[in-house]
Amino acid sequence: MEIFRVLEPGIYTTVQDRGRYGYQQFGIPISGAMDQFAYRVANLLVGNPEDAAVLEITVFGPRLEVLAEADIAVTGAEMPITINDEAAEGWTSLRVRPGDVVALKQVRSGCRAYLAVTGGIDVPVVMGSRSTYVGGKLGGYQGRPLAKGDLLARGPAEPLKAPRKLPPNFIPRYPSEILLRAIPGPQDDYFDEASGSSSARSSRSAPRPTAWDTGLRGRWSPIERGCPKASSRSPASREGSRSLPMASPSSSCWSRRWGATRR
Amino acid sequence: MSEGLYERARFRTAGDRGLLVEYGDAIDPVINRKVRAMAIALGKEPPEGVLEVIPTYRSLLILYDPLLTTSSRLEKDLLALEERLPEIQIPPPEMVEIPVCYGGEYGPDLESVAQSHGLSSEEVIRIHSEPTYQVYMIGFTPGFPFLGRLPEVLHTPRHKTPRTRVPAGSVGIANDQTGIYPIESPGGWQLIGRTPLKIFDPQRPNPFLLKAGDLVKFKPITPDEYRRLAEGDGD
Repeated sequence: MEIFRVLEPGIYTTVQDRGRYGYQQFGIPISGAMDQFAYRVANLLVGNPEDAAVLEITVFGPRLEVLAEADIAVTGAEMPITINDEAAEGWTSLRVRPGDVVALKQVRSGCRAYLAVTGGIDVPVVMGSRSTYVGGKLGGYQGRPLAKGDLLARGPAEPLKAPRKLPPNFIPRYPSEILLRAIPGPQDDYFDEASGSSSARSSRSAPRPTAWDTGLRGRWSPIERGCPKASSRSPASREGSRSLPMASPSSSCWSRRWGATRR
Repeated sequence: MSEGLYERARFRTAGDRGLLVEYGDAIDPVINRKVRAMAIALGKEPPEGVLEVIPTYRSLLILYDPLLTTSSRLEKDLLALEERLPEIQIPPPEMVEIPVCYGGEYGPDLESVAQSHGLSSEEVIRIHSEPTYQVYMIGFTPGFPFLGRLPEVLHTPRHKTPRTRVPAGSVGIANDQTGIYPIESPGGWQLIGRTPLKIFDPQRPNPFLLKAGDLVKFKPITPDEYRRLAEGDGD
């Protein structure tokens, strides 16, 4: 059943679910919602299973024309939401009707918001997941971010009998400076004990928004005498891994799906 | 036995739900066979809590659910499984022949690679297509096979500045490795040829032509053969 016509796609809006597990051995990343907590809550608020597909909305949201009656919920980053130009709330279920226009604007804090709809966004399951892997042009809506004019469908579902709302004390904050918890990784012994690994643990970074899908790149305080033993025999890296490229030890990359906002 | 093979598996922490198991410290067929055997054994008899197993050149990354198991329990499970490896049926590796059109528009770096080693293009083609390669691991992009060992005479460094677009099917060389780009992607390897086969096709029941542990033989083909095969594989 068709549910949304994309009037404006926003900067970077993709279909995501829990992620595509089991294929990393073939070079397929997990993809999936970055903020798994907000993603799961969005689904629960509209009565979906936790792992239904949603829209992941980055920095500036889309404008969507509603094509069928449904419940929606927006969670995650704080983005102003309007329904027919009237302000609406996040972290709660919202009833929408055909002809309504749902819009999300410039983010106020955080980066990614999640829009769930009763029944879940219905796109083909590719290798066990509906998540978009843009680099591999697969999954999600035709393997790409949404574009103007796209028609999105949803799965079958009953409307909610009563509205749902997340108690405010469970709503995460999305400050501009976040503390990432980390534990030493498998190649920690490549670093000089005294200087390298401790400065790797305590540096600050302003991520450069260059790699949406694979990681956050940033310039960090330089790590002195880091990475003495280069290895081309890299092990597989986990999401959330911080890697320090040899060429420029002052820049590094956190892989996608670090659960920084998970508590 | 192999020099780089550890006597006992080494375990390293990879985050709060990952365990890295290293079997050696070299690009080496013996170490890699051990990795493959353990990956297959884990697929047949997964210990409780294991979500995903990712084999690489010399190690396995095991992702687990920390609510179902712990890394110390997993270490014990893995050592026990390793002891029982001789009883577990490990199928022989599959041999896959990959047709490659070398040089010209398909392999823009063939001539410069040949020149840098004082060889003719024909010699590079012969040397590259002679060995049976082992797929050491899959990674980088969907289905990208890292193949070894490349004959030493062909070892060539990557381009200093990677190309922004390498066509799908391109066969490349980087130092002591050779590989095939499954999808169009950026890439810095020296491109010596291209295969018309789809290394990765998400529409196929098995999207991946190759898996870790397979054996690969390149077969030189002409541009005409390339076009014919590309049309045949284009469904």
